[in-house]
Amino acid sequence: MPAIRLGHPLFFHNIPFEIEERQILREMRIPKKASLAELNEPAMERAIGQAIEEGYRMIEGQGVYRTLTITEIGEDRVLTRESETLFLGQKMVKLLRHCDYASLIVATIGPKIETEVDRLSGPEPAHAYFLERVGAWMADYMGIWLDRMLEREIVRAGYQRTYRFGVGYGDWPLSSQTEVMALTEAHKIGIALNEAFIMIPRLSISAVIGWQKPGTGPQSTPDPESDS
Amino acid sequence: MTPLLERLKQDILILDGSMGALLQGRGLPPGYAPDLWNLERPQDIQAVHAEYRAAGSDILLTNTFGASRRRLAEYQAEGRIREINVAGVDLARRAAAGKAYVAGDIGPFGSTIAPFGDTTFEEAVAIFREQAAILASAGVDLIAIETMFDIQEMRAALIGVREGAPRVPIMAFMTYNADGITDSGSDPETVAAVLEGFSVEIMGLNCSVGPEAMVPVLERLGRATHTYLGIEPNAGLPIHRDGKTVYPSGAEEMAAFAPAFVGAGANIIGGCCGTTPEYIRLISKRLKGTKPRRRTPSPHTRIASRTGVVPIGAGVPFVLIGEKINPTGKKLFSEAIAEGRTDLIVAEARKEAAAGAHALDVNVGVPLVDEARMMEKAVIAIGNVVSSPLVIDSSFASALESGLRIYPGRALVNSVNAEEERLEEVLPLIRRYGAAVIALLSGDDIPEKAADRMKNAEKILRAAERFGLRPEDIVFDTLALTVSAVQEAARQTLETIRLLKSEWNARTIVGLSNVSFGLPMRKTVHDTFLAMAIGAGLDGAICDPYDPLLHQTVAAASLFAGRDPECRAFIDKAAGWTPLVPQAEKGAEGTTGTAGASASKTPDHPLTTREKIERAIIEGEREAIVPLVTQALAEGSAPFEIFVEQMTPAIRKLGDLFGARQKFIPHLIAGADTMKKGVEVLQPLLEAKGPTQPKGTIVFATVKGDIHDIGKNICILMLRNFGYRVIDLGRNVAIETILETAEKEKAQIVALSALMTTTMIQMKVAVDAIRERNLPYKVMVGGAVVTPKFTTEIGADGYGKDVGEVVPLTERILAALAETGRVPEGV
Repeated sequence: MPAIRLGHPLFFHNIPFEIEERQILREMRIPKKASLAELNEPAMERAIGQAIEEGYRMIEGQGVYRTLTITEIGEDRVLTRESETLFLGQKMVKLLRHCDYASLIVATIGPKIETEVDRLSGPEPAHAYFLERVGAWMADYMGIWLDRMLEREIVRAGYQRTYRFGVGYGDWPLSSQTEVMALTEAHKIGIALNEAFIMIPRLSISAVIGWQKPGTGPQSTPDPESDS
Repeated sequence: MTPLLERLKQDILILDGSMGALLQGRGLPPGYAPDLWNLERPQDIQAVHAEYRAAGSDILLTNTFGASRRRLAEYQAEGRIREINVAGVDLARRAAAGKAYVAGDIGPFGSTIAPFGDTTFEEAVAIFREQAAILASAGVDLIAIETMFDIQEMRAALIGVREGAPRVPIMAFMTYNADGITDSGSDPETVAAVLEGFSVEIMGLNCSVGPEAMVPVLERLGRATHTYLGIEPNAGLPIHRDGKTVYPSGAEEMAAFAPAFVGAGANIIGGCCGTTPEYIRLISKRLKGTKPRRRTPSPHTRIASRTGVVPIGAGVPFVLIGEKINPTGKKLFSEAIAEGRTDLIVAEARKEAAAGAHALDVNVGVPLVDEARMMEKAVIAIGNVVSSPLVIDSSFASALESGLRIYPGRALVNSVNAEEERLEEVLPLIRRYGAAVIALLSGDDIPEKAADRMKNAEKILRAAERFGLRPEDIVFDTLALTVSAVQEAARQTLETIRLLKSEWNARTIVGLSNVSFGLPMRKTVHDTFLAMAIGAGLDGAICDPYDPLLHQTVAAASLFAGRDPECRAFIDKAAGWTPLVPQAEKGAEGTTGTAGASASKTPDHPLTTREKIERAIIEGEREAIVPLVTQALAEGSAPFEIFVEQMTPAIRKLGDLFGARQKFIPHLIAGADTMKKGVEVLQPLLEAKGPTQPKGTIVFATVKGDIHDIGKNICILMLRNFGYRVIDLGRNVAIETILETAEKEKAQIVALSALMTTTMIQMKVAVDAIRERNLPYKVMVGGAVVTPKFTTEIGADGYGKDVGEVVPLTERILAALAETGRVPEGV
């Protein structure tokens, strides 16, 4: 019987990755292009291609997830065995009301890209922008990688997954980040919070995914790229 | 009883089914470790085993799946690890009553392993070794490693089990998802290659999905290996219902798949989650008298990454091993390695893989560098970004071991030779880590004659056998000697290849670059040698993958070496090649690109410098703008004219194209950056003529609590390009600082950026402060979370949706201010 991994976070370092040109172009809101070559603009192709190659050198993908046991669905919060103050708000109640478990996921690409973006912002703003877009997509990518790893565990245990819901969205307070970081021990993958509850490195994501009993709640269309 | 491996030659054996489900029926509480019942409820455990034996199981798996030290520690039972495992074996043995084999069951150790996880490889090996030793001492007939999701954990388990239970056969099962891939990305072919490297006696798959999804995976395994195969499907995909996990496939449905399993090559069949003795009874009945299918061993050496496999040998594509990850003679590369950096290594790996290298040689040897540590870093970094198998190359056994340990695949090690010391040092590592090895046919000297090289080959083979390796674990490097120095010896290399192939069907490679050393036209020399060597039977080369002539030579020679059936690969590749000599093909024109491509046209008229400046800004050609502006100055254009009449219209035109959705934000940014670089050339010249009056002054900041600034920085770039003076206060800026600066700099506009719903409220605070103090500044706001409605609600003077709007918005605000002294709503 596949056991549900409870009680401690599960860490992933050295997450393998691929930087898809299509996704970077999408991140830059350039529509209908699947590759840099389709731009037919050598200067742009070179500039974005350079940012992608730099991304490969600088990204250090890490992530962690931890599964919590839901004990009660309240009117304005969801209680778990591990915390009664984490999942606050109507959005959390709606997301998790048919769930037995909820998994917190935190992922990052590390600090190197944003350090370089900060350095380039003054003298090379376009280069900074392209690199920042690569970093923004790849932070999402790491979240999606973790999401898919977790989804397999959810399916193997006989559940369905809910959509992924980001910390601080809707009425889930951003201040919940403090508990998210503590429960996942995210400091072990190099993530801290600043006084405004923003994760440092900035190119990081945090979210929750519920383990929903099959046939209950809305039919979840797993859209790991949606955060609300 | 007949030894298990002997039985498998003749018969299909039946495993048992799920233990957990039956124990839950006997009262095992949810979430409680079944292994603990070996001591607490032994009669129940024995009874379940007996049920399976009565149903027809030939092999009983001990109730020890979660009985490793770390798993038992979750229940504070690690101190009883020996008792629990020994009891598990004892109970199964009693139930078997001499009529079934007992397999010591080992499951995952409960966490993730390096390079993914925090547990080191050796820690994991120790955990598996301990449990395997206990099971072996208790007298199991084989060890079953089950339900592994990660190939690296499986590697640790195999090493641990071999060391803890050296004479016990191993049955190794991975768990695949419905798409036929494991959680960590390995397909069946890759798993087969890695497990064969460890000489597991039985491999297979269990858990996760039902029988129908498993058949294709088993078929792929059956084609990839001749090792005995086993399979244990779940009774379908589980569904959580009414507080329980239920499995939808019934016993009849499951048993109906049994013939398909045998057809795919299965030698051992059982069931996993959701199955009961009834399932086993029907499977056993269905397969009564059925004989196993025989499969033919592959003659290839197969190396693998976590996600891909490359075969080396006759009849498969010639293998190109990229030689460029090597610091020898490369100053920058050596410096990067000395600093512990992997960026240049990663860049080279990606480049080699993109150039068509099938595998990558990794050498990080720099004097005084901790090569073992650097090899580990390099192997991890490369594995994150390319899927090519690696050749781990070092003179130091410690560096080889460091790379082999962390590498989640089957590596090829470069290298051993016939010297006893090197063989003693390296071959045990090959055995331990399931690798393959390049064997140089040199010893104390480099033999000239083929016959002498063959003697070294024999010596190496005998040593390999002593260390438990097989001929398929060795790839011979036949020594491509420098033809200009030892011409006959170079010819003997070809003879050696022929002998190794014809007499042993051995795998061969060479290090290609040596052969042409000291001669002109080196590429012609070594590529010709390569063609001749492929004709003699060579299987691979360590070479320069960036040489297009080499790729063409290999593809053409492969046509004559049985490596390209129906010439398909050659035809596909040839479409993109540059012919080296005129091919006289109909329709072929020009010397580049695909056949039939027309030559580039010359423009009807050359572009003027002004037109080129416009193009550079619109196309974002940052490298081109400085020489063009310099050219314009040299042609007599005044600096102010260049800025106002050439560059500014260009950036405006770019803005119009953006508005028409023919260009997008990245184009705006690249164009603005290009203009900035051009302006930097003009700035000192403009300033020499006296201070210029800016069109307006703007104080710009990201609000307090917010640390995002990339959008703000691009907006500032745009404004400065258009002649505005912008004071950039950075991010996370307090209101007071913004207002003090605005007063000091006599700004007309305060511009605020926020990216978060929790920080945008600071914009209202700023507007309120300005109004309450009757300050003259206009406020414009922007950022991903800001909306026109919010802008109106807080009383700001203008809203910019994105970087494309910041200049027009500023112009409107200042124009309105100039006209009326105030800014109307909706600006």
